[in-house]
Amino acid sequence: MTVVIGASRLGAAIASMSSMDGIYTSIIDINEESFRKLDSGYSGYTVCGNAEDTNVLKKAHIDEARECVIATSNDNTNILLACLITGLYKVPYVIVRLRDERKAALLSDPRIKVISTAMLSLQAYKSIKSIEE
Amino acid sequence: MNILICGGTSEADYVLSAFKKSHNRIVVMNDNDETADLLSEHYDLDVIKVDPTKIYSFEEADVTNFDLVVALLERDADNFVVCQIAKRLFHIKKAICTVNNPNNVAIFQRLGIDSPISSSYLLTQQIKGESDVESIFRTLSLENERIVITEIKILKEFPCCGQNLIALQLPRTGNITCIFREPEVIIPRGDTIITEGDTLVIASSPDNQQDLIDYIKNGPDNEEIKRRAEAAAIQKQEDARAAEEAAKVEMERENELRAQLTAEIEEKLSKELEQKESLLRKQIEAEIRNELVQEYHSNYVDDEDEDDTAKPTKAVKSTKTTQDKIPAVKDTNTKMKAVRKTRK
Repeated sequence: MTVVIGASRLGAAIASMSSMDGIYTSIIDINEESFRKLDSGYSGYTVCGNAEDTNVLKKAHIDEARECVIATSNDNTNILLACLITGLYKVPYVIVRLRDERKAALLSDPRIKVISTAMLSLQAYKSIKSIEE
Repeated sequence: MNILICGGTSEADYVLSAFKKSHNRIVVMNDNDETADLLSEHYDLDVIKVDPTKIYSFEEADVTNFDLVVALLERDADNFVVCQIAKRLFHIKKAICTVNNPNNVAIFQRLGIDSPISSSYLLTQQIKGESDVESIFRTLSLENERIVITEIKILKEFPCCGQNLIALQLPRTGNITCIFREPEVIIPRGDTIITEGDTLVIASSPDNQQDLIDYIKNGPDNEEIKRRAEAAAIQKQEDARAAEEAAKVEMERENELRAQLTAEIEEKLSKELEQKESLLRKQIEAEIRNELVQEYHSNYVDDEDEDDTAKPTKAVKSTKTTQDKIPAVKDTNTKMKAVRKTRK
């Protein structure tokens, strides 16, 4: 089971992909309208609410999750959620998207993997540059 | 004390006013221009206009190893990040922050924030306390509702009015921490007498609070006391029985163990004995064998000696016979002597 928090473009894309692959997926977002970003073929759960609330997390089946992707638009929220989820639940894989990669230093739990958009973009730029040359 | 105050508006103002007086070094981080200017003017200190949730802000503020960080931002997640950066990356010793969601009080504490304070939580407590129909008592709760402090105003008709604390015999589930007898605060002892108008401050767990209040208002419930005493007596009997049973079981186990041990020891001893016996037997057999061999040898050796002496005589006899035969032709005496010699 995969739980995605934040129906941002990244979150929605991951949830759609996961659902297409046949994995049970649920996605949480505080705004009902964000779920529009989901693929039309999405067949998982959608939970509207604040993911900081443990009741909302339970509704999204966090207890059964193998993977949790945290991709809200706010880094600080993502950090709090990462700490909360690793602190309260036994999810083996927690993936967090951060814009400010320096804050990854606050996430010391070995289950957490950080996706730093700035770093990835920099790598993409580098590879474009090397093609240019 | 070195204190870092992050965010907030009126809260920051209030906290500053409390701490600025007493020889503390205070650093303020606030990214709201208006608030920053106001604070800086009012308290004559430098306010760093940065976002406290960024790591570079902390680097700029030079607050490593400070004693305390107070996070007063509007969002719980922002306060969380400020406290985490402060504690984990800049080794600030204690973190206090406000939280909006009262459920986050427990969660933040678990995640390492020393004192998360929920204003709505405290507000609810206050409302609970104020809205009690009988306004003669109010409640304050501590440690996330695990301890309650009850204030009870003593009225004339209470049976405990005029009693001293020893006579009161308050149940052991509560403790009269202090008595407010305006304007004094009395720390009571056994002989302190409860008088009309006193406010008793009683500490207990939430479960026992109502019983204690009833006790103060109505005195001991004799029926209840009898019932409880009976129940206690029955419990005691049962406990004694259980203890007896347990003791019996223990003794049985001990005896079992002892029997086991003695059996083991006996086995060991008998094995040892067997071994010794067989060894001894072997020794004896060996000795007997030796004796026999010796006997045999001695017998065999004696026979051997006789044969050896016989052989040369036989040889001598044979030579003699040949010799005898030759002279027998010449001399009959010598012939007779020779015959005699051969016969012998």
